[in-house]
Amino acid sequence: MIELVLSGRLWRMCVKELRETLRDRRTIFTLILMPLLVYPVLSLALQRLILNSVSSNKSETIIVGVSSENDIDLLRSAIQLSRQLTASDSYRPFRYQTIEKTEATSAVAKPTPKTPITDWNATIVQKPLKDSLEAGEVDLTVNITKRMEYLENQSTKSESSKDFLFSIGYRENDSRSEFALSEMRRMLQTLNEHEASKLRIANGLSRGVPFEILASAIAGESSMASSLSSVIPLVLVLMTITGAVYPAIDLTAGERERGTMEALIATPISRFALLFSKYVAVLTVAILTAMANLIAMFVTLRFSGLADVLLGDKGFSIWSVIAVFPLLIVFASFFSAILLALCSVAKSFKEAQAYLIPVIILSMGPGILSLLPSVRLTGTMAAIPLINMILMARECLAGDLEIIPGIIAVSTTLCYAIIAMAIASQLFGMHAVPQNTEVSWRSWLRAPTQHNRLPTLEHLTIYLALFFPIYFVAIHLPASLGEIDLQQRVWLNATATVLLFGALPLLFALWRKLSIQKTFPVGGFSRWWLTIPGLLLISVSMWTVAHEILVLSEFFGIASLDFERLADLEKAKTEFLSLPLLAVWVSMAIMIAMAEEWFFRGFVLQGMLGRSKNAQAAWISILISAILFGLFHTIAPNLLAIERFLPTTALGMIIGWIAWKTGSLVPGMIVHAIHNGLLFTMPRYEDLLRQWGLGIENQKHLPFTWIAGGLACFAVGILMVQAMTGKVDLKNVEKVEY
Amino acid sequence: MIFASELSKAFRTTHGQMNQAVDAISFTVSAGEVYGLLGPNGAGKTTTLRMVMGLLSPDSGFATVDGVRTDSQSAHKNQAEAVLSKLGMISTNDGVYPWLSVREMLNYFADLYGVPQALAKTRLSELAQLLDIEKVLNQRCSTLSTGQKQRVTFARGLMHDPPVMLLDEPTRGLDVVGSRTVFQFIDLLRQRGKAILLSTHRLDEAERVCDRFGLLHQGKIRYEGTLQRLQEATGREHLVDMFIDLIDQRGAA
Repeated sequence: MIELVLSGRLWRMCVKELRETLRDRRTIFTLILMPLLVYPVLSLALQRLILNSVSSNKSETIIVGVSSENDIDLLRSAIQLSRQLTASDSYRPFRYQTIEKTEATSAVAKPTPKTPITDWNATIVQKPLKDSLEAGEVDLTVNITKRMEYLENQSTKSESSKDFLFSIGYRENDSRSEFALSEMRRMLQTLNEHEASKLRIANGLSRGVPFEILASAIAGESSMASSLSSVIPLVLVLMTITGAVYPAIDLTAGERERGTMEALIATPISRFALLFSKYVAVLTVAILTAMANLIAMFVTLRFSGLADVLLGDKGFSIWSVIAVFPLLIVFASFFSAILLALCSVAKSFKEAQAYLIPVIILSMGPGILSLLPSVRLTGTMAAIPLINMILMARECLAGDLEIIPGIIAVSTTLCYAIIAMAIASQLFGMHAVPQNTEVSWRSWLRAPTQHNRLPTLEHLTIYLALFFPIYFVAIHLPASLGEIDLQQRVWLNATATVLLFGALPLLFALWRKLSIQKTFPVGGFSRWWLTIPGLLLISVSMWTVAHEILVLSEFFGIASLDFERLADLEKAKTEFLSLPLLAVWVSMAIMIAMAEEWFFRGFVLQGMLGRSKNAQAAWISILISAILFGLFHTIAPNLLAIERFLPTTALGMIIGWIAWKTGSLVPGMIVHAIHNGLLFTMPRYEDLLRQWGLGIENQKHLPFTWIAGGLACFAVGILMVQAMTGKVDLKNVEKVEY
Repeated sequence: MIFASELSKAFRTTHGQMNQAVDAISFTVSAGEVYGLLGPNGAGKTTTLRMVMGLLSPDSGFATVDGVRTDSQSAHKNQAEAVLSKLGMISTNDGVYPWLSVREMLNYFADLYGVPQALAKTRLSELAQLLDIEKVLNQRCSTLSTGQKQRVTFARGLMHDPPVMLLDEPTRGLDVVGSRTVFQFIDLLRQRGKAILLSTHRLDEAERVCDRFGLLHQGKIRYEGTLQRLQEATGREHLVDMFIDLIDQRGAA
């Protein structure tokens, strides 16, 4: 693969696929013509829909709830006066209906809204105004305070000399209520303007206007317009899919149908490379489609005036378009892989279409679910494919995207893309040879023909891609379980770790018929009577190393803890100290150490070590496994604990080295467990430690004597393990290529 | 060059029964030799070729090219790639890329086989001349006639100049003139020292061009050897008669 990239062949392969696709009229049709047609038609339909819904709102009278007779009288006279003032103006029910092209610019001009003659019906409400508003009995509540009274009550001074304060309550996101509010504002504005001009004429000087508005919102149910704004991401996503569908079918099933697949498979290029070039082509077309759609949608919404209705005050800025575009790329990279995986199984165009239609219909389901305003991009939602991207696009357009769920949504989506590509590369070319009955979807799931192997890079990739979303949901689960006490949480955490890092890799290894003994070597190790003291020295001194690295990474600004979080930790620590020490050791030190060693030094490291032909390669394997170990430890619920990366990676290196030298996972488990146990025991003897000059809660360097002692201990331990285990025999290494 | 040992392959039919398509077939083809794999439809010719090619994995037995097994599962990755570079397969089922020009398509395949671009250019012009496709090089493949497509397919299979050629019914769908051109070309390839495994039912032409034959019926090689040996064994002079005898035997059985 590297050779293909370097020689430029892969690039030329991609260009060929793209050339083939883009020369096809059908691709161009979905790419350019569809967006050009769909959005104007869609916008017309939406305009009609909104118009109907709003005008039906207004055919009725707006009901205003007030609390006293006095208020009614005031309101009525205000209404009457405003009517007299605007009687000459023609009634324009809704500004979107009045969109006209001005001859000069031929652009769509937004007309100035005129004051409509609205029927107001003011009623006295017996219960509190807010309740009545919440119940939907009234569209608006008005409480009129005479300015003087108001000022006395508030005992504040105001420069304003307005006579009346209209305190208006309305339901947010309720188009009817919001419309009523805007009408009320407009009416009072008319009166104010009139009053001001009258006064100017009379006195020649300006005085404040009589009415002031204080609007306060209560949360209302979403109106049609705001749910329509969720339609935009859904439409964009679906259109991106449509763009990718045709090339995906054409470059896989189409290749078979044309009879070029057999010749292609017979070339010495790996199927993955072939598929990859096709993937690049499909992805490019999908991205081009997304771009075309985004532009078409932007232009349509902008110039039809729909953007304001659909997206509220913020409108539809070019920036929100730019922000949504990368999301569409992430989504396209995911869906292109899915499409290729599906089409790789199909023998013909027809068959591919038969596979894709249900998938596209199914993907509409979550898409529609994401239209609900109550569905937000949070922990679990962020890991659900498709939904996460639509929600993210929606929040991006609304301008209230949160970073962490966003990162999760993007990373899980990319993970799914990798899974889909891994599966697709297994399936691609399987039907190259007709009448071959040995291949189907099941063949990927079928037990492998080779037994007793070490995990390959492919196994690792597939496993990690499958595992990461599960892990992610699992660490967010305790939060959704509600209040459980700390002890339960600690045990739950330990059990989950054992299941995720212990049982799951084991099941995967059994399923893929990997060698259990080689993947998870838990045998004894040579000269244990001297190795074990060395291990103990390492375990008791390793925390000093970890601590110093932590302080250093803090120094270099690699930390994500804020004060709020530290306060939480402090609270957690106090609770934590109340747990029995034995329970802490078993659950948080031993169980977790065993499970993590099983996975990181077993499943992850052994396959790579087994294929390392020399010490250098072995070190690289250890480094990769350690980085993975470090990365996993940075994932904490709803935040990235970046400061944990360096210390954990360093520990991963040390334990990885031990696993390599001893050829067993047991020494690593011992070191890991003691190290964890010590970290959890130390806070219990805080006073004693403080006497020794170790303020462990402060992020500062340890006293020099401690660093020196720790390092000495550590070095002796390493030397003992090194001396007692000797050189690793690389001759027995399996000669297998990735 | 080619060595097939006890190749067997069975397929499951739609009714779930196993159909033994190829049954323990063995043969060898040396450099500069044309081996004709002959037999009625469904005799297992294409399946055999695909197993030699490594596109189908045999149920049992194996095939080697230059001493390296062609089934990718057991071969070392680099060796498997090296073997594939030595093989060229041309089949009637082969298609072309309708949206690419002939030149683009041939260059693409040369690139897949890792042929340096300069060398690919010379080979392309040489093959275009030999196969008389010079005029259509810049045309889209969708505009080609059947005969032109066939010749383009030939060129495609030869762009990497493989020492071993597997030809599966290369004359199907071609008229007499077209067929004759193809067989003349095969003759040329033999002269260039290529080992050729040819499956065909143009028996008259095969008789002329092939050095040795394997008469395949119901997945088994019934007769094998030079034309002279076949004539001795069957008592028939022409392949056509031997062929009819074979089919009649099936009818009798």
